[in-house]
Amino acid sequence: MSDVANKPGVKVTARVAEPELTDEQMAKAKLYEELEQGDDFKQLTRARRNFIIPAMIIFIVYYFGMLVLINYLPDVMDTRVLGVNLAYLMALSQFILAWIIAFTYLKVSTDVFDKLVAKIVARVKHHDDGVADRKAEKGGK
Amino acid sequence: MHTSYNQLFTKLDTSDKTVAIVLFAVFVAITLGITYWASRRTKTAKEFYAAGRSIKAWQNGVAVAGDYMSAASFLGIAGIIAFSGFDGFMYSVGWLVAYLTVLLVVAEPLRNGGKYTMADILAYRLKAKPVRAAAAFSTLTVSTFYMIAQMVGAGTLVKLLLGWDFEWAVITVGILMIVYVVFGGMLATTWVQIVKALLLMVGTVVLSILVLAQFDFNIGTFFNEITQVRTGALAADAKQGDTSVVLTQNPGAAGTLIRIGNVTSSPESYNVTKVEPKDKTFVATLDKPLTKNYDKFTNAGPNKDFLKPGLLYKDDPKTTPFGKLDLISLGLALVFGTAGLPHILVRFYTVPTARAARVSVIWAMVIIGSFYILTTFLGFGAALLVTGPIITPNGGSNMSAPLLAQAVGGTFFFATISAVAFATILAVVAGLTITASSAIAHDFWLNIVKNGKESESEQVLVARITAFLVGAVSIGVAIFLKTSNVAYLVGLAFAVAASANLPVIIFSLFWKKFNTTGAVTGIIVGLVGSLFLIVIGPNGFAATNGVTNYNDAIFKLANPGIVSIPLGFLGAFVGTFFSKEPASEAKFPEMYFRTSTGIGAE
Repeated sequence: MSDVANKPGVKVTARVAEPELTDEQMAKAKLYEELEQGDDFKQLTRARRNFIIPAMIIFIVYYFGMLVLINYLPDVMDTRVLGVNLAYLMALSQFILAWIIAFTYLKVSTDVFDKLVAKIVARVKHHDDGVADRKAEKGGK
Repeated sequence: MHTSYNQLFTKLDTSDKTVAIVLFAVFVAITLGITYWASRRTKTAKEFYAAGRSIKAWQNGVAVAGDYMSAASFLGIAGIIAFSGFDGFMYSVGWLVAYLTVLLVVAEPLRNGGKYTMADILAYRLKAKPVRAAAAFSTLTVSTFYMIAQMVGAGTLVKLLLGWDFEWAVITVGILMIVYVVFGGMLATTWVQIVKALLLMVGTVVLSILVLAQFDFNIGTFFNEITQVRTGALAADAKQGDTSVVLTQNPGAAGTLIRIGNVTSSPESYNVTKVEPKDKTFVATLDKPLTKNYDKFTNAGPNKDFLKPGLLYKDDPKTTPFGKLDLISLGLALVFGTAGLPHILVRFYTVPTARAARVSVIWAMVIIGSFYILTTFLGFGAALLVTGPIITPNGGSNMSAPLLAQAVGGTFFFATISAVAFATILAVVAGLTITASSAIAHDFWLNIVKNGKESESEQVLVARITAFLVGAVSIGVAIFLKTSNVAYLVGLAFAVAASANLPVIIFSLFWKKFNTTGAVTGIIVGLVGSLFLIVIGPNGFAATNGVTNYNDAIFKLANPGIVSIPLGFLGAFVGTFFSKEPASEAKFPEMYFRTSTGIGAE
């Protein structure tokens, strides 16, 4: 189990020596690794990652931040603001933030991700003549 | 408007019962009509399990909301806010933000990579038999706990409302859910969810408006009242000139300031000079004579600030030694449990594309979020307008929302809201039944016993039989467990989902080296770990008659998530290093490519 083989981007073909893989499995792995080398796919992966990871971090930090503040600074959180207190306002703002992230994701995924996916689909259909689809009929079930 | 609270102690009279039964019968008639319509469109496995992938994004969004807004949400959250104030609202917040995990991480890859069940996504590149067996087992565990919680809730509600026996109520719910699922499959289940979600939203909006009307639509007054909730009520009529009153609750030491009067009738303040317990009530001597007459059940007692955080989750060496940690732990289970709930995940198989799955989560988030914001008026409204001491003898905290409906809208509205609550439960149990039966019929029977070889008509037959069996077993178990605590069972479901399901879903989607051993150990460690911690926790053996007991519990947290979720991840991570699985690694690029692009998705 070499560490090199675990790094993303290193091809599975590096593990030819392992006996369990059949020729068909290796061919398939190679096919998909090649598909994933396309600029459009790399762009898609990067764009998704650049949105999803920060979005997850923001909502998790904000949500658990609120729980920690409520737990350990209850008096500060009970400060009256706008007829209610800070704690309730912050709880409401969680809904607003969740909706903002959700709608931003919808917009970005429509404008960016879906377009890249369409490009990839066109490329796969064109260059590989539907190989991926036919392979799946045998495999994925 | 002055509500007579005496009514709250009387059960529905015959004509109100008739209203409740008629409304409920209308709902049943509509849903049976839907089932008949759906049954003629449910012939293949794809139609039975996934409604033929014909559901539109908005429809699925409403159905996801219907699946999610269960008895625990509608009855449970209103009750917990009514008794514990702001802290109860943390459930509402956690249950909505949880959908970001569903939206950003699982919904689209799951739709692209799977067919009918949660296990499909694991079996894409891992060894099908062991992972399907493990995933089917955890699906059954989560769905069964969730289902029994709903059925126990339904039984209690109907018993209180209509005076039916608990057993008959559970059997009625059980038979209806079996009919929906066995005959109408996922298509009927989906439309039952949609109808129920709309009813629940309308009921909640109307109830919220009626609550605000009591405060002349002044939100400022409403929130100001929340900071000074009377925590008790008069246990007997009091007359002008009296210098003592009988209270339902102990007002505390001499010198305490109490206020008497309902929210809408300008409460007056008095100082207590002496308190004497009498039967189960407390006789409080006042510093000055009463200036007017008060009816029995008028709000009376010291003020309590229900908007202040920490009423429920506090560190108190006598009762809740790790209350603050419990809040964090609860948050973890809520935020990471939803994305591992099988009955929510399978909903994404009913839409045609990953894009539709995405849009349906957005629809669900808008509906669910609006509903949870409105729990503010349901929960705090019940605290102010009904009050804890009235709710307790009238069915307990779970009855807060229906009792509030009676207080602000009269018995007709009470009957309506109760019928809505019953419809809510019915729709949720149908969703759970189809999920549990697909785990048995698709994962276990078809893919493990039959090696994936079975004709289409046989698959549907087996699915219908298992749906019937799942329903029948749940009826029996719910009757057997009728005294169990509903919130405890739902908490269990979320803890197991977050600890056993989510780690393996995430690893299988995003970690190339992840393998079958890791998936099986992850599910087992997460499942057994969370169950064990709950059993040795304050709601497990230590609890008597469903009352949480922190003192005698070995594990001091009611919510095991903070320990069991990391355990689940650790189990899946460590397990992976116990074996090498080149086949699974070789298939990762294919799965990753397909779940990312949707190419080849069904």
